Amino acid sequence: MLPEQDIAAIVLTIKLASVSTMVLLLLGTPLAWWLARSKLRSKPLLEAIVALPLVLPPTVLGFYLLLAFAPTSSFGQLWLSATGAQLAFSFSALVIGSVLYSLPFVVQPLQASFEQLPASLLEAAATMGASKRDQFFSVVLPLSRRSFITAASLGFAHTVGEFGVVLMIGGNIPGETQVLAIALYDKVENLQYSEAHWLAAGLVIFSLLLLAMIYRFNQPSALAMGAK
Amino acid sequence: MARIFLLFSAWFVFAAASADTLRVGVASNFKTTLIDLSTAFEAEYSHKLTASYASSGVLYQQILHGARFDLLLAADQRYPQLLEAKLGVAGSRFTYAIGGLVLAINPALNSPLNPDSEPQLLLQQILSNGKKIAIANPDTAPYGIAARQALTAMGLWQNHSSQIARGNNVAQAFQFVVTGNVAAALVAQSQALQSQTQQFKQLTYMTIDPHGYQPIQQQAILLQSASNNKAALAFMAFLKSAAARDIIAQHGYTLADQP
Repeated sequence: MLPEQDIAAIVLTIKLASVSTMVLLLLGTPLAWWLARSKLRSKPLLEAIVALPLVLPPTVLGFYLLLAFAPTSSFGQLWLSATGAQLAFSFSALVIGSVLYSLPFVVQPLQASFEQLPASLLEAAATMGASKRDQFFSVVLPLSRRSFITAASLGFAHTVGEFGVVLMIGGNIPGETQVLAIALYDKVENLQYSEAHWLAAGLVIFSLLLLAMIYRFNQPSALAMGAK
Repeated sequence: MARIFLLFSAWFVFAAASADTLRVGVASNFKTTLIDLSTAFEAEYSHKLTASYASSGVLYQQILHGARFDLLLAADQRYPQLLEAKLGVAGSRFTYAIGGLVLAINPALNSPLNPDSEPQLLLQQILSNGKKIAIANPDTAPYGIAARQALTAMGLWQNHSSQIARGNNVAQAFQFVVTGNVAAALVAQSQALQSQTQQFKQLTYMTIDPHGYQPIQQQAILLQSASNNKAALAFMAFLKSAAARDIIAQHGYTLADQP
């Protein structure tokens, strides 16, 4: 059905989306928390920076990352001396690109959810002697469960749907940076329509199912309300 | 993509309104050459030439899906051959330029560099040091296909394919080496020539042995919709003229025997 190279592209895409989503949750949660609680005057500017990938063409990010990842640049050199491997056209480079590109999709739902948490709940937890860590795991996390799932799914789906950034910084190396969207682009250009159909239709169905699941999950169903 | 297509269509409708205008789909690698050709052509004839630049594959798809080009200047023989059986004018297809491969090296990433070294040895060194090189897409881009042939002939393709970054086209492969993201790239001779007049003087170039790959025959074809278009016919004839051949040769291409 599908040649080996396409299977490799699918596996790589899932791996990239999973790793990026993990990193996004680890970085995005404290960032969203800070944005939700901060009273700083510079907060709108930071929010704008987080939202930038929503409005900028991916080529802008791709262009700057391409310059930053080169072994001749200071960031590229720093990476080379820290890890011993070149950053340009590596899997790590794609993860960095994806994290930046999908950042708003993870931070924004989390921030919205954190902003709606009543401060009194945390104060109550604190009076009962709960540490900050306890407060997060026993109060914040359960109450924001839906937003975490939304954030993770959107981050994952958006990374799977990434094209422009990868096209510019990926280098299309099979098994390492050749993701599904790029493999599909090559198939169309190469007139391999039947294989292109497999990949394209697969992506449509996958994305549709994932989004439908998110909407289903976010719908306040009678059952869930009854359980409360 | 759909938006680009709409924009294109709108532009074609607009362009079709003016008489004696010639619409050419041109492979991106030929862009600077075509600009010079177009200047010479417009000076000699009263026709106006408008060009769209994209990869041959993209242009081919656009033509199949109704884009109203009068002729296609592709970067290889494949798409003109395919068109000849469909929307092209039979017998109008000819090779207007033959491209060659060069090795472009970024000295900033390759010190010390022995300029007397063979390209094969240099590539061998770069790859065994774990560095990356770039080529155009070896499945779709003509210069990428040739680059894969050359690397295979050198015995480097099989063991180092994970170190070979693939640009979407030969322009992107060139951009990868210019920005220092790879140590070297196999690019078009014409790009090397062109870049020496621009800001990328720091790159070093070496010719790749043309026996290691099939010559890149860039072919043109007239499309059926333009079989009576005077401007299109004039440009096809102009491309075969001595004046045009001089311009093409100056840009680093070799030429087929006079057709």
